[in-house]
Amino acid sequence: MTAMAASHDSARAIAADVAAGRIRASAVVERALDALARARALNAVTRIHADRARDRAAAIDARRDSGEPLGALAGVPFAAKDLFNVAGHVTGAGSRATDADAPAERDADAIARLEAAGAILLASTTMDELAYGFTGECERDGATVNPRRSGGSDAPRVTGGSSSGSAALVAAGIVPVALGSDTNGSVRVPAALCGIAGLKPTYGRLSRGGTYPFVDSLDHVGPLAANVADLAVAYDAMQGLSDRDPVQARRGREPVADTLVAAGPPGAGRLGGFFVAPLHADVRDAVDAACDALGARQQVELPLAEAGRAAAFVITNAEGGALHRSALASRPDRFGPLVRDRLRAGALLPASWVSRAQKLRRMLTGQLIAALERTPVLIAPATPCPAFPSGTERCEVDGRSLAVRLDIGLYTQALTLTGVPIAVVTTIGRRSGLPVGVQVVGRPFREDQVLAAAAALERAGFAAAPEPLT
Amino acid sequence: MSGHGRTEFDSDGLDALAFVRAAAPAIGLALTEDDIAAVAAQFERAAGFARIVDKAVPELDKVSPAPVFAPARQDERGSP
Repeated sequence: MTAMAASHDSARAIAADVAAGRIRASAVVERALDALARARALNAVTRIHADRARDRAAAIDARRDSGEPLGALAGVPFAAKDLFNVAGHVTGAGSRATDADAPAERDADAIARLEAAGAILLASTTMDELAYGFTGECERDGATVNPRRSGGSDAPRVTGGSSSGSAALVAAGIVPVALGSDTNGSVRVPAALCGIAGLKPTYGRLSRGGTYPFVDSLDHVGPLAANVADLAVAYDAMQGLSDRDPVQARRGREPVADTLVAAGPPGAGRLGGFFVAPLHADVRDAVDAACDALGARQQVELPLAEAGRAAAFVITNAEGGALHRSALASRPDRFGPLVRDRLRAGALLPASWVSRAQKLRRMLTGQLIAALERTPVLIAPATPCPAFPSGTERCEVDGRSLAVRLDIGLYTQALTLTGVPIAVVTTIGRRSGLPVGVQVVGRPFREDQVLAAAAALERAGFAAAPEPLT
Repeated sequence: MSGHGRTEFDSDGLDALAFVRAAAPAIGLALTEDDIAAVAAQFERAAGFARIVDKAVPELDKVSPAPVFAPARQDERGSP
């Protein structure tokens, strides 16, 4: 029996069953807690919120018993990366640098909105230290284990990061949806490597209120889910204005869940040039299949894509270093060595480098927006290769030796500067037996088109069942 | 100064080790010799990316503006 069967099969099914009285929210939570207890080997959790989850489940059951309306996610257990504030607890952010922080007074906006729709926070999840990493290997908390195995018996593989624990719990079927954040690919990379769906919405679409920051000009929050419809329901629930995020766009809610199929997939093209190589053959096959499914015959070049990736690195390094400079000076021992040295270097970067990177950002965004005006959706690889064994430093991909801890985010990082919405959907590679993903890139604030295309890909076979836990 | 006519600190011809050794104390980072080498390696990596940016658009310093804050106006395009 899979863990998903123990908890349930999808967020929509759970909510429908709870609303119809076929199952109690309390029973859903107990099953999910039991599945979580059996998933310790994944090292995906930093804190289980059992009492809170049971209290909320009881409240939902009471509402149902009294005939009150329930939300779209009634009784759905979810997990949140440990950079989303949970009232009463210190937000860990995968780092000892947060040890002396005060407990959060309020929940993060994203958690509050999911719970307002009836979802139930089950656990906070592991992540790369301070969100500065792509692998899910954390100095403080250890490596998160990818539930996906090639043939079920090979060495543990990375989940991708930095939203590593959230992706692992969804892939293992413990929860149907989870919260992540994406600065350079931290939703998209783990979604791809764990074989689930993920969404980085438009920059400024969803409130980041109550989250531990990393790079303010690049940080996004976004959902991870076992399928695109659940992704859309969670995304819809997360929408809404907040006074806690100064960069949030002043737009009303624009729900998408009910439009995924009716709208039909928009016209699509394929990102060429920088995005063509290096690619593992399974990833290349996935991009080809996605383009075939969406009729994407036109190849679109972004001449500044490689420079955009470089600019994202510089901006990330500088903003991250600036954010933590004071703590790096006073308590450097609280940082893991790798992140500490990266951030120290970032704190020293000349302003002229950052200024040029920001100018490049505007130029790259202009190129991409122009391309998207011709073709509403563009397809690109999510990562150059499938998940690699934990501890790997270099991988041979397509005849090139990649510094894979950094380069696994090659294709997500190149697009992150532009702030456009991007979904990831996945399939299982024929050669590796491991998940590989494609990015579905859309126009600003057109998450509806991005998710409609993602749903069309899912109908064409971009879907993977949760991995049984043994 | 580079061939682009810039007068600011340039990623070309950089001595990362010397820069880190000199600049870190000025911003309160007390580094050992081992720390300096490790930070310099990270700094050199960032310099490599800065060079890619410079080479892609050599006239970047003359390109204006970078994304800026516009009071009382929300950029609907999703970029800051």
